[in-house]
Amino acid sequence: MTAMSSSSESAHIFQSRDGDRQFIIHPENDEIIVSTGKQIIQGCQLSISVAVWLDELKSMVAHLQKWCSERSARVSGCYLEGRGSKILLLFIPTGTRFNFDLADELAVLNRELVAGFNIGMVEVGQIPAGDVDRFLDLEKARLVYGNSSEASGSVAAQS
Amino acid sequence: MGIPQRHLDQWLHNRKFVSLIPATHPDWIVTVSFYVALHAVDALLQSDGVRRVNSHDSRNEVLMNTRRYTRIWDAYQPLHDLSRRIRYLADPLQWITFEDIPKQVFRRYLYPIEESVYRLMAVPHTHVDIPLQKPGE
Repeated sequence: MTAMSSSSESAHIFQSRDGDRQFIIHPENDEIIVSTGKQIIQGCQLSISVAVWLDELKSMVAHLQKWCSERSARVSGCYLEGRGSKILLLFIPTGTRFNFDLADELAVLNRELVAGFNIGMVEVGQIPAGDVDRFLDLEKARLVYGNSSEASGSVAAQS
Repeated sequence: MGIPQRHLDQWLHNRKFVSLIPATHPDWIVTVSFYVALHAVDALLQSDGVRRVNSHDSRNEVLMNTRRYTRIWDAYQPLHDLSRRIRYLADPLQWITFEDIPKQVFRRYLYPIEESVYRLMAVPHTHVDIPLQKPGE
């Protein structure tokens, strides 16, 4: 197959017309990618969806960091981990006991996050600082607020 | 849709069990209290004709995203979270105490959930406060 166009002119792929047509793509390495027009369109749609989702996730993390900062007397840390199709957010209270006032706020926050950010299901919870590794995979989880020594129990162990 | 008798029965069944749990085990009082709330909620959802609630995630999704259930969600979510974490703690008595149960777990979470369920199902409130065993009994 010859190149569709070697100029700066745009090349169009119409799913209705080109869906079953084979396109041969030549990246800068020596690979050759053979793909149908339909596969190219689906790949582009997926990468747009992923980009949109990541933007939403970044916005949510920024919102969470602000939310935690405003409650620094109650919250010492917040971890985020992807769990299957949902986002798990676990908060570390500043004390060593379950904080009932924080729990009430987290229930409202959970509703707000799901309604306000287009990222799917979010699960929110509260855990003791010393048990972070019992509830999270620390290789996958990200600390979005606080510092890891406080949030993982060093402070509790010292007190 | 009628009143779902099986969930009502299990709601009462679990409620009776809560009062049998020794004061030394507040972690299990919390856990069973959550299942009291769960059957109350499932009774309401069935009464409302809500289908496809077959997991914690699907139940949570319905409660969280339905305005009718907002008050229930705000009490159910903390109770669910507390119950699902406390069972796995090596030292649960460091996380909550027996003294937290009547005021925080029951009055703050369980009873408001039950009251909302009664109100939304339009049936008279018949439950009394759960009697707890005294420490040392």
